[in-house]
Amino acid sequence: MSRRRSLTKLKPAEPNMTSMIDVVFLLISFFTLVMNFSQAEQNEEIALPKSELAQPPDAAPPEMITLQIASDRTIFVGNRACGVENDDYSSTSLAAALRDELDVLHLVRRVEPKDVTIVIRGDSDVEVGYVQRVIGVCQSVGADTFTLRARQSRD
Amino acid sequence: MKSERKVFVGNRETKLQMTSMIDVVFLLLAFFVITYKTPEVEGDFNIRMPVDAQSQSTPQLDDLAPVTVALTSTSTGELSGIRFGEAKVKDMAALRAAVFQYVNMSEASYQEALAGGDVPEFRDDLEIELDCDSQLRYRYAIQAITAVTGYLNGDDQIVKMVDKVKFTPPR
Repeated sequence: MSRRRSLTKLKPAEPNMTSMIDVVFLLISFFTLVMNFSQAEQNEEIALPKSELAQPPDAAPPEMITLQIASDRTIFVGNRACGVENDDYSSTSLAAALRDELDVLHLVRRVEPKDVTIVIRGDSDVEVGYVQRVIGVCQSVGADTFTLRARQSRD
Repeated sequence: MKSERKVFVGNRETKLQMTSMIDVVFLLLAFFVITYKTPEVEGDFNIRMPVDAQSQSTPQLDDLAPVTVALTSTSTGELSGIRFGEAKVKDMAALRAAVFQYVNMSEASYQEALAGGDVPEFRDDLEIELDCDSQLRYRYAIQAITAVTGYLNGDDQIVKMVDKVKFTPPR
Protein backbone atom coordinates (compact mmCIF):
# COMPACT_ATOMS: atom_id res chain seq x y z
CA MET A 1 0.00 0.00 0.00
CA SER A 2 2.67 2.44 0.97
CA ARG A 3 4.73 1.39 -2.04
CA ARG A 4 2.01 2.27 -4.50
CA ARG A 5 1.55 5.65 -2.98
CA SER A 6 5.24 6.48 -3.20
CA LEU A 7 5.36 5.45 -6.89
CA THR A 8 2.43 7.60 -7.91
CA LYS A 9 3.93 10.51 -6.07
CA LEU A 10 7.25 10.38 -7.88
CA LYS A 11 6.39 10.99 -11.54
CA PRO A 12 3.71 10.27 -14.15
CA ALA A 13 3.82 6.73 -15.57
CA GLU A 14 5.48 6.50 -18.98
CA PRO A 15 4.70 3.53 -21.17
CA ASN A 16 7.68 1.81 -22.68
CA MET A 17 7.39 2.42 -26.40
CA THR A 18 10.44 0.58 -27.64
CA SER A 19 8.97 -2.81 -28.41
CA MET A 20 5.86 -1.35 -29.99
CA ILE A 21 7.94 0.83 -32.30
CA ASP A 22 10.02 -2.23 -33.19
CA VAL A 23 6.93 -4.11 -34.26
CA VAL A 24 5.46 -1.19 -36.15
CA PHE A 25 8.67 -0.68 -38.09
CA LEU A 26 8.76 -4.35 -38.93
CA LEU A 27 5.22 -4.12 -40.27
CA ILE A 28 6.10 -1.08 -42.33
CA SER A 29 9.13 -2.69 -43.88
CA PHE A 30 7.07 -5.80 -44.67
CA PHE A 31 4.39 -3.83 -46.49
CA THR A 32 6.92 -1.73 -48.38
CA LEU A 33 8.71 -4.80 -49.66
CA VAL A 34 5.58 -6.70 -50.58
CA MET A 35 4.08 -3.73 -52.37
CA ASN A 36 7.03 -3.19 -54.66
CA PHE A 37 7.03 -6.72 -55.96
CA SER A 38 3.37 -7.40 -56.43
CA GLN A 39 2.52 -4.67 -58.90
CA ALA A 40 5.39 -5.15 -61.29
CA GLU A 41 3.50 -5.96 -64.45
CA GLN A 42 -0.13 -6.29 -63.62
CA ASN A 43 -2.64 -4.10 -65.33
CA GLU A 44 -5.83 -3.22 -63.49
CA GLU A 45 -7.92 -2.96 -66.64
CA ILE A 46 -7.45 -6.56 -67.63
CA ALA A 47 -9.50 -9.37 -66.15
CA LEU A 48 -7.47 -12.44 -66.94
CA PRO A 49 -9.32 -15.65 -67.77
CA LYS A 50 -9.42 -18.14 -64.92
CA SER A 51 -7.81 -21.53 -64.98
CA GLU A 52 -7.19 -24.10 -62.28
CA LEU A 53 -3.96 -25.19 -63.95
CA ALA A 54 -2.38 -21.75 -63.99
CA GLN A 55 0.56 -22.07 -61.68
CA PRO A 56 3.44 -19.66 -61.39
CA PRO A 57 6.33 -20.94 -63.52
CA ASP A 58 9.43 -22.23 -61.76
CA ALA A 59 11.62 -19.81 -63.66
CA ALA A 60 10.60 -16.78 -65.63
CA PRO A 61 11.69 -16.80 -69.28
CA PRO A 62 14.98 -14.93 -69.59
CA GLU A 63 13.77 -12.34 -72.06
CA MET A 64 10.15 -11.42 -72.41
CA ILE A 65 7.82 -8.77 -73.67
CA THR A 66 4.41 -8.51 -72.05
CA LEU A 67 1.40 -7.62 -74.17
CA GLN A 68 -1.74 -6.58 -72.34
CA ILE A 69 -4.85 -6.94 -74.48
CA ALA A 70 -7.78 -5.03 -73.01
CA SER A 71 -11.39 -5.92 -73.74
CA ASP A 72 -11.72 -2.86 -76.01
CA ARG A 73 -8.90 -4.32 -78.16
CA THR A 74 -6.29 -1.81 -77.03
CA ILE A 75 -2.92 -3.46 -76.61
CA PHE A 76 -0.41 -2.16 -74.13
CA VAL A 77 3.26 -2.77 -74.70
CA GLY A 78 4.69 -1.32 -71.53
CA ASN A 79 2.81 1.97 -71.30
CA ARG A 80 2.41 2.35 -75.03
CA ALA A 81 -1.10 1.80 -76.36
CA CYS A 82 -1.36 0.28 -79.81
CA GLY A 83 -3.51 -2.06 -81.84
CA VAL A 84 -3.86 -4.29 -84.85
CA GLU A 85 -5.51 -1.92 -87.31
CA ASN A 86 -5.40 -3.93 -90.51
CA ASP A 87 -4.46 -7.27 -91.96
CA ASP A 88 -1.07 -6.10 -93.18
CA TYR A 89 0.52 -7.16 -89.92
CA SER A 90 3.90 -5.49 -90.38
CA SER A 91 2.32 -2.03 -90.79
CA THR A 92 0.28 -2.07 -87.59
CA SER A 93 1.11 0.09 -84.59
CA LEU A 94 1.62 -3.07 -82.54
CA ALA A 95 4.32 -4.22 -84.97
CA ALA A 96 6.02 -0.82 -84.65
CA ALA A 97 5.93 -0.99 -80.85
CA LEU A 98 7.24 -4.56 -80.87
CA ARG A 99 10.05 -3.69 -83.25
CA ASP A 100 11.11 -0.86 -80.90
CA GLU A 101 11.11 -3.22 -77.93
CA LEU A 102 13.02 -5.88 -79.82
CA ASP A 103 15.55 -3.31 -81.03
CA VAL A 104 16.19 -2.23 -77.47
CA LEU A 105 16.58 -5.83 -76.33
CA HIS A 106 18.94 -6.50 -79.21
CA LEU A 107 21.03 -3.40 -78.58
CA VAL A 108 21.26 -3.77 -74.83
CA ARG A 109 21.40 -7.53 -74.37
CA ARG A 110 22.13 -8.96 -77.81
CA VAL A 111 18.93 -10.99 -77.88
CA GLU A 112 17.49 -12.19 -81.16
CA PRO A 113 13.73 -11.80 -81.69
CA LYS A 114 13.19 -15.55 -81.79
CA ASP A 115 14.65 -15.91 -78.29
CA VAL A 116 12.16 -13.48 -76.81
CA THR A 117 9.07 -14.88 -75.14
CA ILE A 118 5.88 -12.93 -75.78
CA VAL A 119 3.68 -13.01 -72.69
CA ILE A 120 0.07 -12.42 -73.63
CA ARG A 121 -2.17 -11.13 -70.87
CA GLY A 122 -5.50 -11.06 -72.63
CA ASP A 123 -8.80 -9.97 -71.14
CA SER A 124 -11.25 -12.85 -70.86
CA ASP A 125 -13.81 -11.02 -73.00
CA VAL A 126 -11.60 -10.24 -75.98
CA GLU A 127 -12.18 -12.26 -79.16
CA VAL A 128 -9.94 -15.22 -79.88
CA GLY A 129 -9.63 -14.03 -83.47
CA TYR A 130 -8.07 -10.82 -82.26
CA VAL A 131 -5.58 -12.68 -80.07
CA GLN A 132 -4.68 -14.80 -83.10
CA ARG A 133 -4.06 -11.67 -85.12
CA VAL A 134 -1.86 -10.32 -82.32
CA ILE A 135 0.11 -13.57 -82.50
CA GLY A 136 0.34 -13.08 -86.25
CA VAL A 137 1.79 -9.61 -85.74
CA CYS A 138 4.37 -11.02 -83.32
CA GLN A 139 5.30 -13.66 -85.88
CA SER A 140 5.70 -10.97 -88.53
CA VAL A 141 8.41 -9.32 -86.43
CA GLY A 142 10.18 -12.61 -85.79
CA ALA A 143 8.94 -13.77 -82.38
CA ASP A 144 7.59 -17.29 -82.16
CA THR A 145 7.48 -18.27 -78.50
CA PHE A 146 4.31 -17.33 -76.72
CA THR A 147 2.80 -17.89 -73.34
CA LEU A 148 -0.80 -17.15 -72.46
CA ARG A 149 -1.28 -15.92 -68.95
CA ALA A 150 -4.24 -16.89 -66.79
CA ARG A 151 -5.32 -16.31 -63.24
CA GLN A 152 -5.25 -19.21 -60.85
CA SER A 153 -8.66 -20.21 -59.63
CA ARG A 154 -10.03 -23.42 -58.20
CA ASP A 155 -13.62 -23.16 -59.39
CA MET B 1 15.02 29.79 -20.56
CA LYS B 2 15.83 28.34 -17.25
CA SER B 3 13.61 25.32 -17.65
CA GLU B 4 14.90 24.58 -21.18
CA ARG B 5 18.45 24.48 -20.00
CA LYS B 6 17.50 22.08 -17.29
CA VAL B 7 16.52 19.50 -19.88
CA PHE B 8 19.88 19.48 -21.59
CA VAL B 9 22.29 20.12 -18.81
CA GLY B 10 20.86 18.45 -15.80
CA ASN B 11 22.00 15.01 -14.81
CA ARG B 12 18.59 13.56 -15.55
CA GLU B 13 18.16 11.31 -18.59
CA THR B 14 17.34 13.23 -21.76
CA LYS B 15 14.00 12.18 -23.20
CA LEU B 16 13.23 11.96 -26.90
CA GLN B 17 9.93 13.41 -27.94
CA MET B 18 8.34 10.28 -29.40
CA THR B 19 4.82 11.50 -30.05
CA SER B 20 5.28 13.05 -33.49
CA MET B 21 7.43 10.20 -34.75
CA ILE B 22 4.85 7.66 -33.68
CA ASP B 23 2.20 9.73 -35.43
CA VAL B 24 4.09 9.63 -38.68
CA VAL B 25 4.95 5.98 -38.35
CA PHE B 26 1.33 5.06 -37.77
CA LEU B 27 0.30 7.15 -40.75
CA LEU B 28 2.79 5.24 -42.90
CA LEU B 29 1.57 1.95 -41.53
CA ALA B 30 -2.06 2.85 -42.20
CA PHE B 31 -1.16 3.87 -45.76
CA PHE B 32 0.55 0.60 -46.51
CA VAL B 33 -2.15 -1.49 -44.90
CA ILE B 34 -4.88 0.25 -46.87
CA THR B 35 -3.12 0.15 -50.24
CA TYR B 36 -2.03 -3.46 -49.79
CA LYS B 37 -3.53 -5.79 -52.34
CA THR B 38 -2.90 -9.48 -52.23
CA PRO B 39 -1.13 -10.25 -55.48
CA GLU B 40 -3.12 -12.57 -57.70
CA VAL B 41 -1.44 -15.81 -58.56
CA GLU B 42 -0.90 -16.04 -62.28
CA GLY B 43 0.37 -18.85 -64.41
CA ASP B 44 1.36 -19.43 -67.98
CA PHE B 45 0.38 -21.74 -70.80
CA ASN B 46 3.08 -22.12 -73.38
CA ILE B 47 2.10 -22.24 -76.99
CA ARG B 48 4.63 -22.61 -79.70
CA MET B 49 3.86 -21.17 -83.10
CA PRO B 50 6.92 -21.09 -85.35
CA VAL B 51 6.77 -18.56 -88.15
CA ASP B 52 7.28 -21.23 -90.81
CA ALA B 53 4.60 -23.47 -89.33
CA GLN B 54 3.30 -24.43 -92.76
CA SER B 55 6.59 -25.86 -93.97
CA GLN B 56 7.24 -27.63 -90.68
CA SER B 57 3.90 -29.33 -90.58
CA THR B 58 4.84 -31.82 -93.29
CA PRO B 59 4.17 -35.03 -91.43
CA GLN B 60 7.17 -37.09 -90.48
CA LEU B 61 7.00 -40.78 -89.91
CA ASP B 62 7.43 -40.71 -86.16
CA ASP B 63 5.13 -37.73 -85.63
CA LEU B 64 1.57 -38.00 -84.51
CA ALA B 65 -0.74 -35.83 -86.54
CA PRO B 66 -2.07 -32.92 -84.49
CA VAL B 67 -5.59 -33.39 -83.24
CA THR B 68 -7.90 -30.47 -83.87
CA VAL B 69 -10.10 -29.18 -81.09
CA ALA B 70 -12.75 -27.00 -82.68
CA LEU B 71 -14.69 -24.44 -80.66
CA THR B 72 -17.69 -22.84 -82.28
CA SER B 73 -19.36 -19.74 -80.97
CA THR B 74 -22.66 -17.93 -81.07
CA SER B 75 -22.84 -14.46 -82.60
CA THR B 76 -22.32 -12.94 -79.13
CA GLY B 77 -19.10 -14.88 -78.58
CA GLU B 78 -20.47 -17.50 -76.21
CA LEU B 79 -19.44 -21.10 -76.62
CA SER B 80 -21.88 -23.16 -78.68
CA GLY B 81 -20.06 -26.38 -79.44
CA ILE B 82 -16.84 -28.34 -78.94
CA ARG B 83 -15.39 -30.99 -81.21
CA PHE B 84 -12.40 -33.19 -80.46
CA GLY B 85 -11.16 -34.43 -83.79
CA GLU B 86 -14.36 -35.48 -85.50
CA ALA B 87 -16.29 -36.29 -82.36
CA LYS B 88 -18.61 -33.82 -80.68
CA VAL B 89 -18.09 -33.43 -76.95
CA LYS B 90 -20.55 -31.98 -74.50
CA ASP B 91 -18.46 -29.69 -72.33
CA MET B 92 -14.92 -28.99 -71.12
CA ALA B 93 -14.98 -31.93 -68.71
CA ALA B 94 -15.92 -34.26 -71.55
CA LEU B 95 -13.15 -32.73 -73.67
CA ARG B 96 -10.68 -33.44 -70.89
CA ALA B 97 -11.94 -37.01 -70.64
CA ALA B 98 -11.58 -37.46 -74.39
CA VAL B 99 -7.98 -36.19 -74.34
CA PHE B 100 -7.24 -38.37 -71.33
CA GLN B 101 -8.51 -41.41 -73.18
CA TYR B 102 -6.57 -40.46 -76.29
CA VAL B 103 -3.32 -39.91 -74.38
CA ASN B 104 -3.62 -43.17 -72.53
CA MET B 105 -4.47 -45.02 -75.68
CA SER B 106 -1.37 -43.73 -77.36
CA GLU B 107 0.60 -44.53 -74.21
CA ALA B 108 -0.57 -48.12 -74.54
CA SER B 109 0.25 -48.22 -78.22
CA TYR B 110 3.64 -46.69 -77.37
CA GLN B 111 4.41 -49.56 -75.01
CA GLU B 112 3.15 -52.00 -77.58
CA ALA B 113 5.35 -50.46 -80.26
CA LEU B 114 8.36 -50.54 -77.92
CA ALA B 115 7.76 -54.22 -77.26
CA GLY B 116 7.46 -54.91 -80.95
CA GLY B 117 10.59 -52.90 -81.76
CA ASP B 118 8.72 -50.36 -83.85
CA VAL B 119 9.22 -46.63 -84.06
CA PRO B 120 7.68 -45.41 -80.82
CA GLU B 121 4.96 -42.84 -80.75
CA PHE B 122 5.95 -40.51 -77.99
CA ARG B 123 3.26 -39.27 -75.76
CA ASP B 124 4.96 -35.87 -75.82
CA ASP B 125 4.41 -35.76 -79.54
CA LEU B 126 0.72 -35.30 -79.14
CA GLU B 127 -0.18 -31.92 -80.45
CA ILE B 128 -3.47 -30.14 -80.12
CA GLU B 129 -4.51 -27.56 -82.63
CA LEU B 130 -7.15 -25.13 -81.46
CA ASP B 131 -9.56 -24.08 -84.15
CA CYS B 132 -11.74 -21.35 -82.68
CA ASP B 133 -14.40 -19.20 -84.28
CA SER B 134 -12.90 -15.75 -84.41
CA GLN B 135 -15.58 -13.99 -82.37
CA LEU B 136 -15.36 -16.54 -79.54
CA ARG B 137 -14.36 -15.03 -76.25
CA TYR B 138 -10.80 -15.64 -75.14
CA ARG B 139 -11.82 -17.22 -71.83
CA TYR B 140 -13.26 -20.25 -73.65
CA ALA B 141 -9.99 -20.75 -75.49
CA ILE B 142 -8.17 -20.72 -72.16
CA GLN B 143 -10.72 -23.17 -70.73
CA ALA B 144 -10.11 -25.49 -73.66
CA ILE B 145 -6.33 -25.17 -73.29
CA THR B 146 -6.75 -25.93 -69.58
CA ALA B 147 -8.86 -28.97 -70.37
CA VAL B 148 -6.38 -30.46 -72.83
CA THR B 149 -3.09 -29.67 -71.08
CA GLY B 150 -3.80 -31.63 -67.95
CA TYR B 151 -5.78 -32.05 -64.77
CA LEU B 152 -5.40 -31.77 -61.03
CA ASN B 153 -5.15 -35.04 -59.19
CA GLY B 154 -6.34 -35.64 -55.65
CA ASP B 155 -3.26 -34.02 -54.12
CA ASP B 156 -3.71 -30.84 -56.17
CA GLN B 157 -0.75 -31.83 -58.32
CA ILE B 158 -0.92 -31.07 -62.02
CA VAL B 159 -0.84 -34.13 -64.25
CA LYS B 160 0.27 -33.15 -67.73
CA MET B 161 -1.46 -34.62 -70.73
CA VAL B 162 -0.57 -32.51 -73.75
CA ASP B 163 2.33 -30.11 -73.88
CA LYS B 164 2.02 -28.77 -77.38
CA VAL B 165 -0.90 -26.53 -78.11
CA LYS B 166 -1.22 -24.15 -80.99
CA PHE B 167 -3.84 -22.09 -82.73
CA THR B 168 -4.84 -22.59 -86.30
CA PRO B 169 -4.02 -19.58 -88.46
CA PRO B 170 -6.79 -16.96 -88.28
CA ARG B 171 -9.38 -17.17 -91.02
